[in-house]
Amino acid sequence: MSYIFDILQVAGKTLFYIGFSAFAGAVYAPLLIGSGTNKKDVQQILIVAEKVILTGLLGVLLWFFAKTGAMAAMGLAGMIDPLMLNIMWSTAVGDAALMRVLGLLGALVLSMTYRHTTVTTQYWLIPAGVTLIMLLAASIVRIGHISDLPFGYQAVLVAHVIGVAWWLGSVPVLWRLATRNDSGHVKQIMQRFAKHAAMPVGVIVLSGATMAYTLFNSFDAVYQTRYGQLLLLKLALVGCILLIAAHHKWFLVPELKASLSRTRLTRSIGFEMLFMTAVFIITAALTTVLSP
Amino acid sequence: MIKFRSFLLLSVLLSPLSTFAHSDVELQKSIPADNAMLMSAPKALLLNFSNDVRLTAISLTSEKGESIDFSFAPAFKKSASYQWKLPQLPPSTYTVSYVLMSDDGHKIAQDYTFMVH
Repeated sequence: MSYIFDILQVAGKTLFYIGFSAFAGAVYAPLLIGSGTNKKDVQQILIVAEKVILTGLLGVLLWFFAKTGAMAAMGLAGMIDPLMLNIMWSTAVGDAALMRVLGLLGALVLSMTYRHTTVTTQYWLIPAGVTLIMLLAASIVRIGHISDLPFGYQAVLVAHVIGVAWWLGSVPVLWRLATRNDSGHVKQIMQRFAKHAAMPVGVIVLSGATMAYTLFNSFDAVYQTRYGQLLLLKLALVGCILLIAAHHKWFLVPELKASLSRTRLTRSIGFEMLFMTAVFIITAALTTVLSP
Repeated sequence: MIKFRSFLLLSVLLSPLSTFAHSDVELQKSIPADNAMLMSAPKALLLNFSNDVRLTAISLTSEKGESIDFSFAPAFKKSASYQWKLPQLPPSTYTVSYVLMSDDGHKIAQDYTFMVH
C-alpha cells in the first residue's frame, strides 16, 4: 500500500513543480517578448499558465493528502483521517502546503487581474509575481533534506529553485511564441532568451553542485546509493537540456529564416519540454521517496 | 574585492556544516526487545528513541496476521518515549511496525519482532 502513497506524492509534487514553473515563465513572458509587447500575446500565455497553475494547486492537495495517508499507515482511509490531517497540518508539511496553496492562489488572482486590467504596463506584474515566486520557493525549503541546514544552504536552495522554475517555465513560453510568430520575431525572442539565460543557468549549476556536495558524505555514495544514481540520471537529463539549448543557440536560431527551420526549432523545444517533465518527476521522487 | 567579499560571506554562511546532517533517529530501547524470546506475555510495549520523534502509526501483528489493538492514537506532541498497556498475548511471533515523521517531513518506517512462547 505504501508504494501507492509514494506514487501519489510524487505525482502531486510533480504537478506542483510544473504549476510553479508555469507561473514563473508567465511572469517572465513580457520581458521575453520585449519592447512593444503585445498584451494579447502575454494574455494568451497567462490563460494557459492559469490552467497549469490550477493543476499545480490540485497537485499540492494530492501531495498533502497522500503524505497524510502514508504517515497514518491505515490504508486509503488514512488520507482523510481527521486526527491525522490535523496533526499533519500542525507540522512543517502543513506549513509548506499552506505556503504553496497561498502562492498558487495568489498567482491565479494576479494573472486574472493582469488580464482584465486596462493598464498595459507589465511593471507591476513582475514585482508581484516575483514575491509569490519567493513564497513558493520558500515552501520547498520549509521541508526536505535542506530544511535542517543553516540559512546559507537554504538561500542556495532558494536560488536554485527560482532559477530552475524560471528556466524550465520559460521553455513552454518559447514553444508557444515560436509556433505563433514569424521567423524574424522568433529569432529575436530566442536571442533575447539566450542572453537572459546565461547568468541564471550558471546560478543553477553552481547552487546544484553546492547542494550535491552537502548531501553526500563521499563520492562513492553518489553512485552506490539509489539517491545518488537517480541524481546522476537527473544530471544527465539536465545535460541533455543544456545540449538542446546549445543546439538552438548555435545552429537552429541562426538558420531561422524559412518556415522549415522554425518547424525544426519548435519540434526541438518540444523535446526539451519532455526532458523537463522527466527532470521534474525525478526531482519529486528524490525529495519524496529517497534519502541521500 | 567584491568577489572576494562575496566568497567570504558565502563561506561564513555555509561553514557550520561541510556535509549533510541527517536527522538520524534510533530506537535506543524497546520492551519487548528486538528478537526477544519471552516465556510469558509482555504486559506493556515501550519504545525509547534517541530524540523526540513524532510517532504517526504503530501496529502489532501476530504471525497469522492478526492485528492486536492496544488503543494507539497519534499525538500532536513529539516525544522520545512511548508506552502502551498490552492485552494478554497468546503464544506467537509478533511484529511491531511503526512510522515516524522526521522534522523535515520525511517518513521513517521501521519494524522488529519478538516471540511469546
